[in-house]
This record gives sequence, C-alpha cells and structure tokens, in this order.
Amino acid sequence: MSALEQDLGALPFFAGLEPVYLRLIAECASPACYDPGESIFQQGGQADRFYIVGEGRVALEIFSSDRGILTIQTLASREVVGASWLFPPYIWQYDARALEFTRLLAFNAVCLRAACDQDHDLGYDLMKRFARLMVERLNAARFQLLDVYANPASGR
Amino acid sequence: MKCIARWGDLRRLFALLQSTGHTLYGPKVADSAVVIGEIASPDDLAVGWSDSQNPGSYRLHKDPHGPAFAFHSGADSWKRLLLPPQSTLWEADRTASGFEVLPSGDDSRPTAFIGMHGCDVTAMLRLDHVFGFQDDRHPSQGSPRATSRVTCIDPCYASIRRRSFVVGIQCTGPGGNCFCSSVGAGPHIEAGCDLVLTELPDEPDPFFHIKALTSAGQRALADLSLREAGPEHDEKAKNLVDQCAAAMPRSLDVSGIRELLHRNWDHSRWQATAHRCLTCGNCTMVCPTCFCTNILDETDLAGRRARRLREWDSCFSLEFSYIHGGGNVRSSAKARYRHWMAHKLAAWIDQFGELGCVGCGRCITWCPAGIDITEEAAVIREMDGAAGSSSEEKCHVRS
Amino acid sequence: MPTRLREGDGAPVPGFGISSIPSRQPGEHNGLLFSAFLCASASLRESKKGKISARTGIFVLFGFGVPGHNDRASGGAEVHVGILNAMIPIHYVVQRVCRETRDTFTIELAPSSTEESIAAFEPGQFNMLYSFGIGEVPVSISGDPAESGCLVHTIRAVGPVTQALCDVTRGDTLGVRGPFGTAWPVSGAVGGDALIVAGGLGLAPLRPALYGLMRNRSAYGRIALIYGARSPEDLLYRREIEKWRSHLDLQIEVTVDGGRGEWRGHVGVVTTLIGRLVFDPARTTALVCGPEVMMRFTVLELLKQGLSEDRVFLSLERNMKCGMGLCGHCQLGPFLVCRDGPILTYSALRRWMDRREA
Repeated sequence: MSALEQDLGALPFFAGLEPVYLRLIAECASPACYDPGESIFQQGGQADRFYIVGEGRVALEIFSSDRGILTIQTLASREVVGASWLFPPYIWQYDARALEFTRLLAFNAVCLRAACDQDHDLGYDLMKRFARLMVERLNAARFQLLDVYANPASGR
Repeated sequence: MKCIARWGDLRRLFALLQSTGHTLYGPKVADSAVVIGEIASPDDLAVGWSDSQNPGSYRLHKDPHGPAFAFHSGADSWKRLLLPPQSTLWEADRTASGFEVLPSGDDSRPTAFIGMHGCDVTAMLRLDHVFGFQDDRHPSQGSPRATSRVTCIDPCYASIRRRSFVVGIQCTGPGGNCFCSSVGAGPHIEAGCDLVLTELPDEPDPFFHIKALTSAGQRALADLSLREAGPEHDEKAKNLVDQCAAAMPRSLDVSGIRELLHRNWDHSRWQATAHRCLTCGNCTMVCPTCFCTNILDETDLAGRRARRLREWDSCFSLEFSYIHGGGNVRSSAKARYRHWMAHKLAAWIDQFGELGCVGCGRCITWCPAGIDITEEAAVIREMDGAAGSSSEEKCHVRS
Repeated sequence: MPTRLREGDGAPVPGFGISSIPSRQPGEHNGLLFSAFLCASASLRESKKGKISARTGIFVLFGFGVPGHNDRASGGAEVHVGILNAMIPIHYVVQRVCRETRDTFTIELAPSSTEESIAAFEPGQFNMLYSFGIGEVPVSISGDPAESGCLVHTIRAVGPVTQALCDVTRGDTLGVRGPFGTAWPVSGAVGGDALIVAGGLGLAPLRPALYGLMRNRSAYGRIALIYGARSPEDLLYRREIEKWRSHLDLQIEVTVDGGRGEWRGHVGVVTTLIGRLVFDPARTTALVCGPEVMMRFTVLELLKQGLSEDRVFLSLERNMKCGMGLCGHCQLGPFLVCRDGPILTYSALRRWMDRREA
C-alpha cells in the first residue's frame, strides 16, 4: 500500500473503504496547493474534481454585485470540498478560495465517475459517503438559515 | 382538649375573638353563592344553606331542616385572604440619585378564619409549603416534605398566617363535586387549625363537638368554660366524618398519578378536553392551591412614583409563558390544560413532595364547560398507554 | 434548623416585600438578622461580607441540604446557599457602559452604598435588573465572580426594559435583586476536560464559568470554548477573546453564521466545530448556552461525540417575574427554572426538551 493510500485510508471520509478501492481512488488523486487568497475553483466552471483539505482553510463563497463576496462556509483539514461533480451538469455552484496557505488532495471526477459506472459496488459506497456528508451539510445549512441569533425585536 | 358547644357558645367564641382584636372571616351568602367575607357573629355565616354542585353548575338552597353548616366549597376559597388577589409589594419615589423605596405601613391586626373545611385546611397547608411558612403552633406537623432543594419564604404570607386564628369545620356530608378523601385532604382535620368543629345533629338547636389542636385553641376553650366532650360525643363526631369520607360522590385514584400523566403526555384525551376548554381560567381562580401570580411595575403619569404589584395570574392566559423572541411556550389550549392538571397532580409532587389538589371540587363546579379533573384522570388511567396520536390527527382534521 | 418567627415577638413584620427567614448558622448572626428582619425600616445595615441587611435573607434548604447533590428536581446542577435579596431591589450605580454590538451593551455596576449589596454570585446565576418606572427583567451575570466590587451584565435590547438598561450612562441608578438560580459546574468539572459551547448572547452567562476554569487551570485537562455568532459584527467580548486565544493552554474557536469579505475566520454553525476539537468524551463536562435551537443541535452533536447526558449542562430561559420560585411563570414540567435552573443537565431536561409546549 502506497503512502498516499495509507493517508487516504486514515481520513475519516474514507474510513472502512476497501483497499482495492482505496488504490483506485489514490490513482485518481493528485496533490494541489494554493496561496492565501488564491482561487481554487469558480462558480460556473467545470466541476471535474473534488477536494479534501489537508492543511489550511478554504472558503466557499458566492459573489453578488450588490452585496459583494458572501462566505457560505469555511472548510478546514480533512473536510471535503465540492459536490457538484456528482451529477450533471457538473458545474460549480460556488467559488472556493484558499484563506491561507492550503494543501489539498484533488480527485479526478471524470476518472472516478467512470470507475463508479463500471463497478457499482464502488459507486454505491461513494454515494453513501457523499449522501451522508450532504445530509450533514444540509442540517447545518438549515440551522444557519434559522438565524437563531437574530434580535427577536428586529421584526424579521 | 375536646368540648361540646351550643350555638350560644359559638357566639361567645366570636365575641371572645373580637374582644382580642380579631377581624373575623367566614363563608356567607352573597350573590346567590357562598363566598368568604367579613363576619361578626355566627349568624352571619351561611347557616341553613345547602348547595347542589355539579360540573359547571352551582345552586344554593335553603335547608331549614338540615344541619346548620350544610354548605360545601363556595365560589371562592380562603386563598382570597391568604394570598390577596392584588397587593402592593412596594412603592418608590424617583430621587436625584435614583430612587427611594418608601417604608410601608404594616398590617398586624389579628384575623380569625372561621369555617374552613378539611379540603381548605389542607390547601392552606399546601400553600404553607409553597411559601415556606413553618407553623410552629403545630409541632407535630414536622418539616415540609419538599423535594426541591430551595424554598424562599414569603413574609407577607407568613404574617397573614401567623396572626390568624383558624376554626375548621369537619364536613358531615360531602358536596356534589367533592373528592377530598381520595386525595388525602379531608374531611378529617388533624392539623392546621386552632379549633375544629364537628356538627352533631340535634333538634332544634345544633350543637358542636370542638377539639383544640393548639395551645391558642385550648386557651380559647378554657376561656369559654365549655362542657367537656364525653366519649359518646367523640365517637359520634368521628362516625359522622367517617361516613362523609365514605360517601364522596367522586374520587381520584392518585396511585402513581405522576408517572401516569408523564407516560401519557401525548394522549389524545388532552386534545379532546382542549376542545371543550375555554381557557377562561376559572379553575385557577377558584382553586385554593393555585398560587401563580404576576408581578407588575407601574408608574404614575409624571413618572415620579413607581409601584410594584403582585396579583393573581393564571397559567391559562396566553401570555403566561411568553418568552421574548420565542412567543408563548404553551400556546395551544391543550398545552395549557395539560400544564395545569399535570402541575396539580405531578409537578407539584416534584416541587413540594405532595399533591397540589385537595379535592374541593371547585374547578368542576365553576368550569363553564363542566370539565371534571377526576374524570380526566380516570379516562387517562383507563386508556393508559393506548395509541393517542392517530386519534389526535383525526380530531385535528375534524375541526 | 431554621429560625422561626414566633408569635408575639413584638415588632410587626413589614407588610411589604418577600424575603427569606434566615438560617443555617446558629449564633449571633441569627439574633442580629432576626431583629434586622423585623425592623425593616430601621437603619440596621451591615456590610456585605457574611452579614445581611434588613431586606435580605438566606435561602433555607429543605430536604437535601448538600450543595451539588444530584437531585431530580435540580437536575444535578450546583446549588449554593446564597444570601438573597428580597422583592425590594438594592441600589447599584452604573460605573461603565460598553457597547459590544449594535444592540448589545455591557454595563458594570457597583453598589451605591458600602452597606448593601447582593451576595457573592456563582457562574451561571442571574439578577433581576430594575429600571425605575419601566420594569424589571432577569439578566445573567457575565462578570468575574472573584471581582467582588463589580457586577457586570451584558444586555441585549429586545424590549422596553432591556432598551432602558442599555440606554444607561455612568452614574445612573438601577435596582438589583439576586443572585438567583443554579450555577455552572465549575467545581464539578474538575479532573476532566471542560468544553464550553456558546451561541450568540449565550456567551454572557458562560464567561464567568470560563473565568472560574481559568483561575484554577491546573485542576482541569483540556479547556475549550466554541463560540458561534450571527456575523463578525455580532461577536461579543472580541478583544477578550483574542486575549484568551493567546493562552497556549486554551482552545478557542469562533465561528459565524454568515461572513462578509474581510472575515477570515470560520463560517458555519457551532456544531461543525465540535468534531474538530480534541477531548476525552468520557471525562468531559460540557457547558452550553444559546438559543434553544442552537442548544438542541449542539447537544445532539455532543452526544454523538460520546459525552454523557448528565455531564452536558444547559442554561434555560423562561418567563420570569419574581425570580424566586413563587410566581409560577417559569415552570418547565417539574422545574421552576428560576430556582431549579437555569442551569440543568441534559439528562434531567431531556424528556422535557423533547416535549413540545411543555
């Protein structure tokens, strides 16, 4: 088992993944690093990969001309960035930017999608992991939406 | 000390109390109901009046051939005197440096409460525990069985209690909605009073068995030089009250009541009863143990003098549980009814180690919808654990 | 045994006010207090430390008298015999007003006379703050319990009374009654890790607990604070948080629900940070305070991380009028939140938090 496979296997996101799949995923992975403020991907671009943060911090942002840059969420070490690669049209919904010097593992989405189509067991396993992540993110987002810290007298 | 007294002796008792500066209160007839008010002689009491009480119904009628004290729980309770419906806690004036609380007048006049039934005496003892009053006139009572750790003491309440001379009356016949015996609140009176009367039937002049429970009571009896009661009187009195206890028209099975209500928190019965409940709060007003109050701050128009008031409040009012930003915690009628009943029969046990209900039946009588707490408890017990939520949805759809 | 007021003791009991009848310690204190209690309008005043003025009294403990005893009604939170104010507020003068955010202010109060002040408070307790002629509200104490001369409150303006409290200036007089309620388990957490999770204004009642933990640092393992607010502009005690961050033996994480361009910190709800901390769940005590939704999400996450339900402490809020357990407004099931709370364990609360409209 290569060092990369070992690192991947140690990540909570891939915990319990079959070694043969770990190898496959490792083959689709390549390291990337970004300087503070550097853009990782931009809204509207091709979502042909997803990332897991090694060290550093990534901000998911939306830009609007009247409100400027709005940060939706920040993600840090061992967290997954990017879900738009899963389903067509494979277009990024948000901007992602490194907030500090950030090392990431980038996973080739085209390669992985093909592998999942070929081996449905792998596909099922990856889908379960991503579905669980999405449920957690959805719950957190809904909590965020509730705006629980707002002043009750502000008449929202 | 136990004695026998005739009507004339009661008059002398009243006179004795008045001579020592007591203001007397007792049940009298006003507005077609028995209410508690100031009295001067035993003739002012609701003598010869009886009542028919049913769910949502109260009728007074004269009963010249019945006992002198044939009435039961009236339209209000002794809470009116123990915890006045409105009182000023303090007043303050604005000053250059802030504000100054004004010294208040004090009320030290002794009072006498004449004619407390067993349920009401028990209610008073319950309120003693709520307000932290320890009555050292009754050393046998022991310390309150509170399970909560900390109780504050209300000196207003303590003052009222300490300067009151209490004459209780043991009922010899139950009222239409009574169930004091099943909740352990009567009709026997063993504590809380200075004197306890039991009416022994005798034509044409009623006479009374009196026992003293405190030294103040004994002093009063000694001052009146009454004839001592014989064993036949003691037995007669006891039998009459025993018979009354056995003849209660209603009962509330309190075994495991706390757990029963907790288990059935989402029972469909709550919603069904909520449909009938107007959340008018009558029950809380007439209940002798309901103690919830509201604290209000008021100022005069010029903003120079402020007052803090305490007045009766009811958990049935919508804003009772209001939290800013959160709205009302209990906004549905179902939640409020359930809160009231569960406080009486479950939470009270957690807070004070005893039941909050004394079985006086007033809530049943004065509920415009005729909701009966004993029936509610019985239905929930009967349907204990039955699936409630589906019926609840149906109820919702129906309305 | 508690002292009782005896019949015929002479001076009439004042008709106003609610105060408690003293006693746990026999001896001269009682005698003094006793007559002080009776002559409320007489000028029998004593200094704060250990003695009481006419308008104060002591909680009387019935039943289980052991502080910290795990009692059903109290939900296991620490209870302290406190010297308690009556229904009549004690005068406190505003020393400082500090604006924290758009609608939140921290005020520092000192007693207006050396003779009368509230008792020492425990972290988590609250006072009833009174603005003359406007009204009175419960506000958690947010200062350091060890700083006895100074009473600190952080208040958010959400209504007329809180607005009045936020509008004060130095030299204004407010009325204070308290301290009331149960306390955070600062001593109960000794020997393990302590995790504080604060949401919004919830940091205010937690700050005294953090001071307590920091003061006795070596008695604990890891100490961590996670603090979530609406936006960077809504963060409380910002400079102080930065100071705490400089402590190498404290872990401080701050997050906001929404961040604008310049914010470089975390964005996301507090629960997302819990999993990132290092702590030993079996030995961790969690202190949580914030809006109820936030506490609920937080508790779920803490339990998921393996914390025990009776070591997760929450601070509740309910409608409070008297602050003393006598008016009935703040009831939650068997609890009177002003007296059995506001700090309660999740194990005691669980059944009641799950119930709607309880």
